[in-house]
Amino acid sequence: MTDRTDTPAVGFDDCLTLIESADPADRRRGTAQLERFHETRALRVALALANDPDEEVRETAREVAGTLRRAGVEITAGKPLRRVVATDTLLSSPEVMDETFFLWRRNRKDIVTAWALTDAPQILFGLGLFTMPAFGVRFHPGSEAFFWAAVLFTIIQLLMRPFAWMLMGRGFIGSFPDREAQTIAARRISGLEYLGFFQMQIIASGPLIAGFGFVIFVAGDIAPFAFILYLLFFLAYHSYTYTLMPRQLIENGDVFRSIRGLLNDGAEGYRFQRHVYMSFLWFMAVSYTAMLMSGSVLFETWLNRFRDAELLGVLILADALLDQFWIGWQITVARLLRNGGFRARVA
Amino acid sequence: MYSGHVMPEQITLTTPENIELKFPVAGLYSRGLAQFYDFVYQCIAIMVGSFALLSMGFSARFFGPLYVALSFLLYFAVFWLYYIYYDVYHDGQTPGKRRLGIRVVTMDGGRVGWAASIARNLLRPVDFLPLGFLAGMVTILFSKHHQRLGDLAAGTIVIRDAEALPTPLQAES
Repeated sequence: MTDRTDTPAVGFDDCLTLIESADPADRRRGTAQLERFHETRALRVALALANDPDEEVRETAREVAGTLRRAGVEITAGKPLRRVVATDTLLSSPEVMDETFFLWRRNRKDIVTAWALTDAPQILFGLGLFTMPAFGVRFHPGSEAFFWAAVLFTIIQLLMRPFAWMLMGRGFIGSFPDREAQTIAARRISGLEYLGFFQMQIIASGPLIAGFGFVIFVAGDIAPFAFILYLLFFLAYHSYTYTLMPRQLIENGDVFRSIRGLLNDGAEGYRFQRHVYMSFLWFMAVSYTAMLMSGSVLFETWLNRFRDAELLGVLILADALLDQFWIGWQITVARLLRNGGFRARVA
Repeated sequence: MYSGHVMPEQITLTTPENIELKFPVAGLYSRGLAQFYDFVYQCIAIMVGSFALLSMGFSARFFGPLYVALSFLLYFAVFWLYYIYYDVYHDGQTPGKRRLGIRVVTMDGGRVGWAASIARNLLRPVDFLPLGFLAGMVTILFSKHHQRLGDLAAGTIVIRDAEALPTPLQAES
């Protein structure tokens, strides 16, 4: 610890000069002398030095900060402080998932409003399925009602997803404090933007929707085998393309620009996407299971039944509810990719 | 390690020595996953315990009331004392939390004591209500410091197990 007893009395500016000096001894002396100034500015400097690479400076600064605080000096006495932690590191894929919930909290009013607007058709569709048994509609895979429900749901998804990205995407990206994110969040909504998202939606989800339709309506006897193949295809394709929509939100250009960004990230980018994808799969699997179990308990208690219509209804409502976090998570991953964050990953 | 434009949530805790320390807060996902791992470990412990009881010759057929009593004791120990034991004797880290790198601390950054641990774990069933840990999830999402009801009652918080640093200087707006 630096000896403070024989240090000469200096003004605050002299003290700062000492701290800014290249000589470690001067820096230690300057830090120790901060204790003489029972002022907010001295406490600020002491706290800044509390992370100094020089151990002695660091220790002294922490002690000085404690002394000043005990003397009644407070940092909140001056101007309000601005949060400046705009760039930081995430240590693991669960932290990427946690970050999504933090983002949601920071701008939840805008996000929930956007969610209520853009997911309303899906919520109504899910609730509508619950009423089918009451109207005597036969609803099971292969039935006519199931076919038309699938068609209607696909149309809702194709038309509403671009809106969801335009509104919820803005809400989520508005949670980031940096200038680029704020500019995107404040951007005016346009028809061209909708068109861009619509095209990207076709590229990102078209093959998945077509594959699902094939398994349900065409595969017939080989449906179980086809479903396993479809699942493998889904995981491979989806884990590669799930950042296309947030890239489109950030780029706001033609879809080929966003696709080029995906291709430019190469195998390294794909590995990163796949790595963090697992934490999201866990989240979805646990959430869907919890909601299905809760739904089955509620329906068994009230209606003494939980069959095809109710099961699909619960799944669709669960999907609508989780949509907010799904979009936020994709944006978080896309921004990490965009800023080259995945390249800093330590195995 | 992934770097980029992200903002992990942090909490500033003031220690009894009046030093402010910053900790990254554990989010809903990490906490949920830790809970899941703990549940798996508890189920394994129950299976091993039941098998041990049976192998020692205890069975409902011959030791009806005693077997039931021992089984209840086992369930109680695994589902209740598990959390309290790890909170108090392992610095607020159950095996699940250790796996995820998170821990429970008091609101001044200290170790969780008996009273706080009992309070936060007694309220665990309330956090579970009405189904699927819904009350706990909602309070974690909406409370100021990401606390579930048990945390709010006990004055505890779950943080990431990172090196605590004094509050750095922040630029003025």
